[in-house]
Amino acid sequence: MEIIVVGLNHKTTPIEWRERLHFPPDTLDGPLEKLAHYTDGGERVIVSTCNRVEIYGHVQNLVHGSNRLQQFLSDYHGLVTETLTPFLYTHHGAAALRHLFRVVSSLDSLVIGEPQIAAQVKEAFAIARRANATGTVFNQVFERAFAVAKRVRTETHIGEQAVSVSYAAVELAKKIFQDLSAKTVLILGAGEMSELTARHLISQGVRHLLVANRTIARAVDLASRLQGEGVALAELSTYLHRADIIVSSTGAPDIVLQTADVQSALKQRKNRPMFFIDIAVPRDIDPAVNGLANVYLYDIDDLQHVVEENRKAREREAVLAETIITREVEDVLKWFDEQQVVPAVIRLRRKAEAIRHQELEKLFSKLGPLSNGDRQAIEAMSSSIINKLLHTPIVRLKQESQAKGGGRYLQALRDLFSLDE
Amino acid sequence: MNVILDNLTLFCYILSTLFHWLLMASRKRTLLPYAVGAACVGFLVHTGYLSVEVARVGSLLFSEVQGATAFFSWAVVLAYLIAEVATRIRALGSFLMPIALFALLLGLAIPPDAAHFLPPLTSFWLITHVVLALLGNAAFALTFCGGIMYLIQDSYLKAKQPGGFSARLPSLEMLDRLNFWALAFGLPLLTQGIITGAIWARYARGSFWIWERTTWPLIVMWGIYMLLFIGRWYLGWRGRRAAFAVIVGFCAVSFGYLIHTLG
Repeated sequence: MEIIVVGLNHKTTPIEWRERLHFPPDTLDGPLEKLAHYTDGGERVIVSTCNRVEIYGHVQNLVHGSNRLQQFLSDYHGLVTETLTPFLYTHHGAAALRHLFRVVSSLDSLVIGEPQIAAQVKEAFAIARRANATGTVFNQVFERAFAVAKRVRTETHIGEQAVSVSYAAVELAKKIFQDLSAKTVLILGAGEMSELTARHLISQGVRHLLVANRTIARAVDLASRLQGEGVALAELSTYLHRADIIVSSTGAPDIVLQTADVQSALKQRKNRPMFFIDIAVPRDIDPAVNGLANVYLYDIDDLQHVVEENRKAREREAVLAETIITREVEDVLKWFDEQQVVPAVIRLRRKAEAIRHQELEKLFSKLGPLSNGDRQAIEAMSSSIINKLLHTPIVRLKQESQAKGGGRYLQALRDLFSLDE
Repeated sequence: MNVILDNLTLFCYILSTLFHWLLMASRKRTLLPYAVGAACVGFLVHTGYLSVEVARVGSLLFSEVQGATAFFSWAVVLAYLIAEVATRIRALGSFLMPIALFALLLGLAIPPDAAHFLPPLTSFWLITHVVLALLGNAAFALTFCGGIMYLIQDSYLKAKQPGGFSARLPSLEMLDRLNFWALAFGLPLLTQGIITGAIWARYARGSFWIWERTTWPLIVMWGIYMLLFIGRWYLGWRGRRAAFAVIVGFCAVSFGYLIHTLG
């Protein structure tokens, strides 16, 4: 039996194809049932997200199995198999496990370390499990994958630093302010970008929000959506000192906020720190503001630079994650072999017994009538030959399967004695 | 017995410092219990050591530089443990434990006869004076570390490089709050220390105040911190400038203290 994954992702397949091959997560039961014909009833899971479609199957035969999984993908979506071939990757055995672990740990994601993928695979697995499409093997393998993802998350810093501009801004705010819920955020310009940043800040606990815009109607509109207070941009100097965090993205061609404005606001607020996020191009806030004590100004380039650095940091952490995954894959393989050694030994013994019985019958019919004692002696002798002959190989097999990188003997045994037939 | 306790304390503080630094370098949270644990064990042993010493020589302990530095070191660790529990600033130990360690080593490095700076401290007022002033100084050591962390974090944020070491430090607001509270604790202790010192002077020498070179550093020290406190409270001296001031303040205090005790 082999674990196989056939799939495609954002790296191999353009969006037009990914959307055609997508399986809506809420109606996976139908596809899972159809898939059963292609895996000959073997265990199966379908993972389908916006960036990937992957079919995991537990099948008898490697080549036949992977062909059947590819066929399922094309049959289900009404396509000719050959059209899909260039997009697809296939992994089996250790490589398939490794692939699954990397996917769930978010090492294979578009944004390394993003947290959604683990939840998406968990959901896909839960659906398959409920539909009785999984059994001992996949239950073990997928549960293990989720444990690995958790390990990667806690033992490395892969998901820690923001990799989007608006999250980076929130993270910076948290380095300046301890408790965002007591802080006031001022949004300058009712644009899309400032709304997004404001929403991130609100989700992090910010409760006081001022929205300023040149046309007050738009300010009031956005403010009501974010449960804030709409104010006129022209009266900025009357409320600037109330703001701890200022997010600016007006469409103004010139500087909106001068150093002198900030200086007088600082005086009014007794030097409590101010954090300016200028995401407008051209810039809204005089860059010299960053020179004032207790004022921190980040423009869009600064934020993008921070994001770039964080991305590099995640890549460094990913190297650490890969070594964790390598070790975990080895562990699972060991478990597999242990699982497979017992049935292989049983099959080997059965085969030997069958041969013994055949040969005994031939012998007895040739020899003619024998006394009971003679019969028993011959039977005992034949069974002792078999036991003694098989004893050492079986012990060795068990020992080897426990060792690191074991499993070669098992394969050899199966091949030598044709146990899979 | 005492040498053993003293060495054990030293060992624990060295261990705690190393664990804190390792924690900073690796960011492995699992190291924290060892770092804090070593400090706790060291603190208990240190408490035992000081108790035994007091039982042996009585109040004379504080009339020798060794005793005073050992007590200061103890107070710094106490301040660290309180702040650790109250603020959960993980980086704190990396800054405070070395100070405690340094004070302990300083006491060991100075030969016993080099400084018998005060007449034997038999007076209740004089002992109270020394103990309170040293406790106040421990609080100022805390502001010193908070100030350094603040300046580091501030410079990272100003330079727009919030990764790396900056991730190991708490938010500016937290550090500013730590500095304020440590100051708010330290200042009354120092004030009371000065008052008890003056009362002692009245008994021992007949006047509340004697202008000599051992007294003025104490007053300057008190003045600096009082100014800082008022400035913070009324004038909004906070953030970077306040952090800078407490660092300078502590350096001045350490220097002034040496003059005051050794002079």
